[in-house]
Amino acid sequence: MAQPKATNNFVFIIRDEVDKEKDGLFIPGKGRTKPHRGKMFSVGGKCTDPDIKKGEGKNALFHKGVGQDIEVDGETYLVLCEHEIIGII
Amino acid sequence: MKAVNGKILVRVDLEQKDFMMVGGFKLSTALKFEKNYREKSPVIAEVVDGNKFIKKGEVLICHHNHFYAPSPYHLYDDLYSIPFNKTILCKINNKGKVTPVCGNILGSRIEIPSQLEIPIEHRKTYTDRMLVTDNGWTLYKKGQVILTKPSSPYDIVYNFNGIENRITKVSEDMVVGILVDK
Repeated sequence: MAQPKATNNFVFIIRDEVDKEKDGLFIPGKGRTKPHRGKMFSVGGKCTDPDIKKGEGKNALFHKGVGQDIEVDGETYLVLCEHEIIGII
Repeated sequence: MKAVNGKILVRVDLEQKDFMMVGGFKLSTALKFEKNYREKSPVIAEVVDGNKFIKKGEVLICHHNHFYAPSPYHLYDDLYSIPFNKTILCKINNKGKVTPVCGNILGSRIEIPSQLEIPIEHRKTYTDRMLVTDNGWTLYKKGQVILTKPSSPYDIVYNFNGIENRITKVSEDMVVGILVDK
């Protein structure tokens, strides 16, 4: 089993789970939106922001539609550049 | 003539049609080869004046951006003064061995595993990762799997003394991560 480790100024994020239900109603596949927050899994060594540098394991917010998905051993990670993160919770 | 401002001087034959004789060996690059994921027109250049990393007389394969007719990098005849950066892809010695330079990495593509047996021509490879075969001047290690931005590993096809070779290169700043064992 292998896991990814970020390099340069990139951050690997595991997205929060998609809501399949809202107010007791089931949301069909097309209606589901990917959440724009997730847990920072790995932070690259060239990140300059001190909060992001120490942010492994914390939750991050990002805009919709940014980054790329990479699949490793069945797990999907979102790869973001450091500047694409807009906040840490 | 001497190169200044971090540049190097190279001699280029832009009309390379069939092959170029460089240092006594035949070398040509495939200018039109397949559709995607390849350097469009890699250019062969001979160093006229280099620096401490690239010496005079060495043969380089460069990205085509600096080499066109009214280029600001053009000095006269077939002489160009090009910046010393990642657009210099690799150097090739007189035995055909290719070494990546300026933050470029050579590797091989990784096949997407399948439970079904698929004929070779239909097998697909990942576009976002590759196996390092030569790390060049970077800190990545040989044999390591690197994760890259999608479709950033590019193929360079060249013909050395009648033998066609294909190498895959990626620039260091396109690498987003590595794979490590748990």
